[in-house]
Amino acid sequence: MSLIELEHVHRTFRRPDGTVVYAVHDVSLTVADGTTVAIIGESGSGKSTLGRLVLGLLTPDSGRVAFEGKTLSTLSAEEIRRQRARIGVVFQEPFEQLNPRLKVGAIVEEPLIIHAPNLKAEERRQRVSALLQEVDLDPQIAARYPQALSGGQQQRVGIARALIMQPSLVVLDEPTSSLDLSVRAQILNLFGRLKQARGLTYMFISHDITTVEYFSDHVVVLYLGRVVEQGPTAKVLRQPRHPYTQALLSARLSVDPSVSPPHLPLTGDPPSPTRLVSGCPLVGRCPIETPECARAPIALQTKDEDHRVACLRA
Amino acid sequence: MSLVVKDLETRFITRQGVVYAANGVNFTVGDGEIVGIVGESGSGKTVTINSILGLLDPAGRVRNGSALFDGTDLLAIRRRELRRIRGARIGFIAQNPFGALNPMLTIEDQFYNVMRAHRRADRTEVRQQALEMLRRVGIAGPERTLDGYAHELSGGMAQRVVIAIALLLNPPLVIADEPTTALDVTVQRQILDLIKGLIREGQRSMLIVTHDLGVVAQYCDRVVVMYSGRVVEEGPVAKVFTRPLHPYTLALLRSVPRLGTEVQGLGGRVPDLLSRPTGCAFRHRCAFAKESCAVATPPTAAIGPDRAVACVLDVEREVPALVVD
Repeated sequence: MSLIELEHVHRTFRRPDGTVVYAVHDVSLTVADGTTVAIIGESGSGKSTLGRLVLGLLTPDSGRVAFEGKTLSTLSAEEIRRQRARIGVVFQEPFEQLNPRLKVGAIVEEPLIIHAPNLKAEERRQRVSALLQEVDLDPQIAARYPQALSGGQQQRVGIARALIMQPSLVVLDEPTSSLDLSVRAQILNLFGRLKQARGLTYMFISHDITTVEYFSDHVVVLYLGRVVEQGPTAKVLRQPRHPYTQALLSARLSVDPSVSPPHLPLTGDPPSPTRLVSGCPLVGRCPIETPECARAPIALQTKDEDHRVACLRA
Repeated sequence: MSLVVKDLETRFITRQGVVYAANGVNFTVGDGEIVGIVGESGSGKTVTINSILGLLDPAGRVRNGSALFDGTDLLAIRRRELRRIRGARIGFIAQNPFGALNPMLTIEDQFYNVMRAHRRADRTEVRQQALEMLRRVGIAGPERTLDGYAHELSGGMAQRVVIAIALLLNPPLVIADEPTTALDVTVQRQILDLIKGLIREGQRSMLIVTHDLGVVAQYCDRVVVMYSGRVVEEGPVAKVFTRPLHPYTLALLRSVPRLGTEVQGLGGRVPDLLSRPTGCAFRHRCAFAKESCAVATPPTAAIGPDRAVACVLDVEREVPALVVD
C-alpha cells in the first residue's frame, strides 16, 4: 500500500519583485508503507518544498497529494488537523524547531495537549518519559531547557516530539546535516531502530548521497523541481542512468585516499528556478545533450522494472 | 615556504567565563604541501587559523605560542606588518564568498583595493591582471564579471572570484577555511580541483580547514586531526586514513556510513571548553581509556618517520584496525 501519493504536483512561489519560482514542477511519486524513500537534490531542487507539500504545510497549485488514500485538498480543516498528527517531521536545525521558552518535557508534550485533549496530565507525562528513553535520553532531561543541551541531544528531543502522536510517516528534512559526524552516526542508527520498532515510513530529504545510500530503500532525484530519475537505491546509485545523477554521484569524495573515481563534471552552476524550461532542465550543463533535448518536456521512462529515468539518451 | 606553529594557546573571554579554544597546537606546513586540519565543531580548527592570521574576534586572545612563517613570527609582529603579509604572501579563502566580497563595490574595485593595499597600482594594469586571474579560475565572461557586483554571481562563481583575489599577488601560502562547505555538491568538486590545480601549478603550499573527511582524503598530502583544542594525530593522509592510530581518529573514520556495516558513532559529547582540560580530553568518549588518561595531557609521540600521536596507549598494538572483518 502506498502511504503517500503525489500526482502531477506543481507549486510555484511569487517573489516580492514579481518573478515566479517554479519550485516543484509536475512531480509524481509514491511512498510505500514501511519503506524509506530518499529525495535527493541540491539547493533549489525543490526537495524541501516537496516535504512541505506532503506535510500539508503548503498546498499544490495543481495536482494531487494523498496521504493514506485521502486527497489532502478534499479534507475539511478538522480532518487535515487530524491527518497532520499522523505525520511527524524532523528538521535540519534542531535548535530552531524547539521553543527556547519551554522545557524539554513541555516541548515533547505539546502535540498531545493539542491533538489529544482528553488525556490526563499524568498519562501525558508518562508517555513523554517513555519516549525520551526510547530516543536514548535520560527522562530527567524533561526539566531542562533546550539551549542547555548539545546539538545531538536537541535533535533527539526533536525526534521525540515528532513521534509523540505515533505517526505512521515521518518527514526527515536534512535531519543530520548540521550535526557533527560522530553524532550523525548515532542519530542514523536511532532512526533505523525506531523504524524497526514502530513500523515507520520515512521520507528522507537529503543532499548527502553517502547517507542516502546507507539509509534508504528508494531514491527520487530532483533537479530544478522535476524528477529526473527514481527507483530502488541499489539501482539508482549503483547504475545511475541520468547524466545529472551520474554527475552527482561522481562528485562524491571518498574517505579512502586510494579510491578516486573519475569526475564527470557538469558545466557551470545550477540555474535559477525562476526560468521555466521547456525541455530537459539539464540543458546547458549536460555533457551529452543534443538539440532535441531542449524542445519538449521529457517524460520519465521505465528502464528496468521500477527504475525510471527522464532522459532521451539514457 | 614553511609555516611552523608551536604551542599555540588561544582563549576567549566570554560572559560565561574563559573558553579554552586552542590548548597547545603544534603542526607544520612544508614547502609545496597541502595540509588539512580536520575536526568537529569545538575542536579549535578555525580558531587556530584565525589566530595565525590575526582574524580573531575581539574576545579572543593568543596567550602563548608562535607561528613562524618563513622565520617571521606572525603572532609577535605588529598588526600593520601582519596585514602586509596577509594578502601578499598568505592568500585567504573564506567559507562564505558573499561574506568575503564587498556587496557595495564592483568586482574590479575589489581587485584594485587588494592590489593598492600592497603595491602601487595602476587601474588599467590591475584590470588586465584581474581579467587574467578570472580566466584562470574558469570564469567565462571575465569583463562582465569585473563590471558587476557580488550579488549577481552564483555561489560557485563568487567563490571563484574570491580564489582569484586570494591568488592575485601570487602568495606562496594559501589558507582556506571550509572553502566549499557553502557550495552545492556538483560545484564543490570543481572548485576543489581548481584550487588544487592552482596550488600545485604555482608550487604553493596550502593549509585547508575542513570537517569533511572526503576533502582531506582526496585533496591533502598530510592531515592534522584536532580534538578539543589540541592536535591528537598528525601524518600523511594515505597512512592516517587507512590505519588511524589515535582512538578519536579511528572513531571519526568509523562514523562514515559504509554499505553493509552499521555505522558506529561516538557516545557522549565534545567536552565543555569552559574549563581547562586536564588529562586527555577524549577519555570520556574513548573505548580504550584507562586511569592514567586522567592524570596528565598525553604527550605527542613520534610514530615512525612521519607520524605523531598524542595518546598514552601503545597505539600500534592497542588500537584496532579501521575495518575489522
